[in-house]
Amino acid sequence: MRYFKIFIFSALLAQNPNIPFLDLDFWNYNTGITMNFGDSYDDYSFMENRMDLNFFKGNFSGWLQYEYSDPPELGYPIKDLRKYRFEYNYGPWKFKYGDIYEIWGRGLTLVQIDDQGIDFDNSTRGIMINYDTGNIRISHLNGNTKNDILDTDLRIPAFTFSHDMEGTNLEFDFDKYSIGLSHLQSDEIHQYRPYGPLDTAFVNHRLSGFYLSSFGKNYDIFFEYVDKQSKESIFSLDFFGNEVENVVPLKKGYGLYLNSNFYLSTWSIFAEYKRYSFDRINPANTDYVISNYGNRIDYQVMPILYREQNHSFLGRVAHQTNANDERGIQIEVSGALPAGLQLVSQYSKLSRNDKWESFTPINWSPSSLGGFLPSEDISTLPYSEFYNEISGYFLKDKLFAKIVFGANKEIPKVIRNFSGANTSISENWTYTDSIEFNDDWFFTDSILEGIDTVSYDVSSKLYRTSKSFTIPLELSYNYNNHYSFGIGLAYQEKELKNVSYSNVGSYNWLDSSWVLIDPDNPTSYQKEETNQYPNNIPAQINRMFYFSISKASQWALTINYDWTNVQEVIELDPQYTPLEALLFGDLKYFKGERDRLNPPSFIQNKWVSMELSYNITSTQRISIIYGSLQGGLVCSNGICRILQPFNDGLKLSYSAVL
Amino acid sequence: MKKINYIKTALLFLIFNSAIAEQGGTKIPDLEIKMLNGQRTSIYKLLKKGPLLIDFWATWCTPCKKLMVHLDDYHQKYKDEGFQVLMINQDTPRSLGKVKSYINSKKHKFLVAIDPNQQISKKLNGQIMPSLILVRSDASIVWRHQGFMPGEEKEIQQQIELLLNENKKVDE
Repeated sequence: MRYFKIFIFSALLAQNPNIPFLDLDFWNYNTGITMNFGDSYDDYSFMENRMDLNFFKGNFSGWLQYEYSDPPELGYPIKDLRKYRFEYNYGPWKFKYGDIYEIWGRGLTLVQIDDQGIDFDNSTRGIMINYDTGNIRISHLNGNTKNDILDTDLRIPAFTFSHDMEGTNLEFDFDKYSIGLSHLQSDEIHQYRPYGPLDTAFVNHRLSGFYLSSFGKNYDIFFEYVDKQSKESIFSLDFFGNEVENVVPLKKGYGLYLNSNFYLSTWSIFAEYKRYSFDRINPANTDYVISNYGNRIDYQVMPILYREQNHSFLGRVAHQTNANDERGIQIEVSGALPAGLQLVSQYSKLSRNDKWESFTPINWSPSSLGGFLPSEDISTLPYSEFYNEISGYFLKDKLFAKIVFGANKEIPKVIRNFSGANTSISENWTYTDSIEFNDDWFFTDSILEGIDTVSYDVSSKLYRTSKSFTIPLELSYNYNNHYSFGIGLAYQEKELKNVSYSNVGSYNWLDSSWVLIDPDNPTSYQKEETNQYPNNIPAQINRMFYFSISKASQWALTINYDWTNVQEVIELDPQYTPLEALLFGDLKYFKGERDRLNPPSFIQNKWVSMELSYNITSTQRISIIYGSLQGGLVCSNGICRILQPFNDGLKLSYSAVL
Repeated sequence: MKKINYIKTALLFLIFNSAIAEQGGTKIPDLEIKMLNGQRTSIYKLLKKGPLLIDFWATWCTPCKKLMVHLDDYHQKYKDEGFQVLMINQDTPRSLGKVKSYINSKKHKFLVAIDPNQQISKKLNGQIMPSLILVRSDASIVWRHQGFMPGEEKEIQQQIELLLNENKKVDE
């Protein structure tokens, strides 16, 4: 708060010409304000305000960001100066002090961004020195970064990773080529249990990489490679009670990325290849960050190889990238069709770098995939995506239309993947002696005549599959009188199944063998598929409809209706709002004949919201959202997080730039 | 109590906002920018040719793409008067590779720069996309605009023409 008071004090002194640097006329400056407030029936309330001030004078510039959030929509409460930075240029030299955001290459070594939409910020607070002579650029960065990671709470982080880092990057341009060399070292304090600072690991990361690029008239190519090593410091007490540090190698890995674009008239072909191998773990263990440390660090926000979706339905079914262990290709063709239409067609395919086999349900063994391409084998967790979009303007550019077809298929998890042989041993005994007692015969001796050994193939696979297709449609029409109307429709089907394919039923730990489903017929395989949705519903069907009307430069009103037939976890909609009643024509609601806390079945699994936005000026905007919003997976820049639903609430936001 | 705090904070922000607003216009800083073809330049170098309309956009921003069609028209229509449109792309390295193929498929002629860690947009407060800044040749900011609703392209054109007419009067 003290910073803010100083800041306000400075602004009040702005009228005093005797103190020129406190006079706003002395500076070139701009300010930005965002204010968000939300309150909902299920106590999802937040209050998040940020104010940015940028100021410039000659070779000096500064940035201050004050935040007053208690609580924010996501993350920890802040009532203080959140970010600041001061910069000074002197000839080819540039000095920065404060919160620094840098990108080297395409991010295999270093990418620093602040995305408050998903509460991700990996800036370094420290110093940076740049030397730039036009075709040679050298940067040195030194400071500390703290990244907060969520656990079970979807809003407040539970873990903190702290990095004391230093790094140097060199870039050299000649003709149409560019070369970069980078080195980064970080000492991380990695919290791996949500209990406190004692549950931490001390890890040193070293990244060394290079990148090359070439730009031509009809092509451009970019290639980047990074090598990464990590070591862990383990502390113990010696005989005399002194603390002793033992540094042990932890993990080694690399990342490789190739991007190419080729252009012919209005057509472009875009092709990418990537291979990230920082930490390879079995496909049953897909939860990486907390307990598996020493692998990719939060500075490495690397390119994804699937489409960055901008429709919420496509975002909800997006692949969650595995930057520790993934390889893949992506090809996109885009260009102009007749009648002013535009086409985008894209295919991507990904998998992990290893095939995995489970010798027992808990023991896994990898075998490296040969070649460069991703695999279809289930144990490599394959993912494929197909996306087609056609858009264009019609009726003298008054009507805009866009239709998309997106489909994807994935094996997100493998519980068991065993292929091998079982040996069944049976002994043939013949009785050689017997006695009679009380009219019964008893065998007293026998002889082993032979041992039959039967060997048969055993296969046991248990995995999860996910498959979906989505068809969004968007239309907007712009009238001459500044009014415009928009309609959006979306349809999505998603299947989520557990698949079992096996000729064995279980594993017998006593004799270390698999138990056949049909002991008389070892080649009898059974395939079972169970739907993951409640009540064995075969597919989740989602539909969305929105209608908007706007008057240019003044206001816009949007009604959004989101509906699903089943949620992955049964959740009852606790509230029934007048907006929902109005949309469903439920007169009983308005006559007081409905129990608002025990809503009728026809409004379950439906989310209705209305947004009204008003432009106060060209740079000041206020927006009010009333209703319910479905939560779910939201992905931004390849970083995904699950947002909780917002039920029967009000969101208010204001933004201004001056 | 939290709501009262919120109202107090909101009022404080708005008062400060008004105080800043009354101070009047300001100049754009001379920021170094990296163009899509890999070349480096600065905003002041571009301003030597004439007025500049800066817009922030990303490949995943649908309103930005709708606006770009009109901005490209204005870039070509007024280029003889020294006017240029500079589109600053906000895609992170994760989707940066698609920027050039998108621009090429649309045959856009305006200038395209990249700002993958959003540092230029932060310095110019252009985080909300699309975000327009109309700048005179002397680097002073004439007009700013945030967001895009269909039909606003006429207001944008009006602002450009006002600025170009202002230049003509000065020349006369």
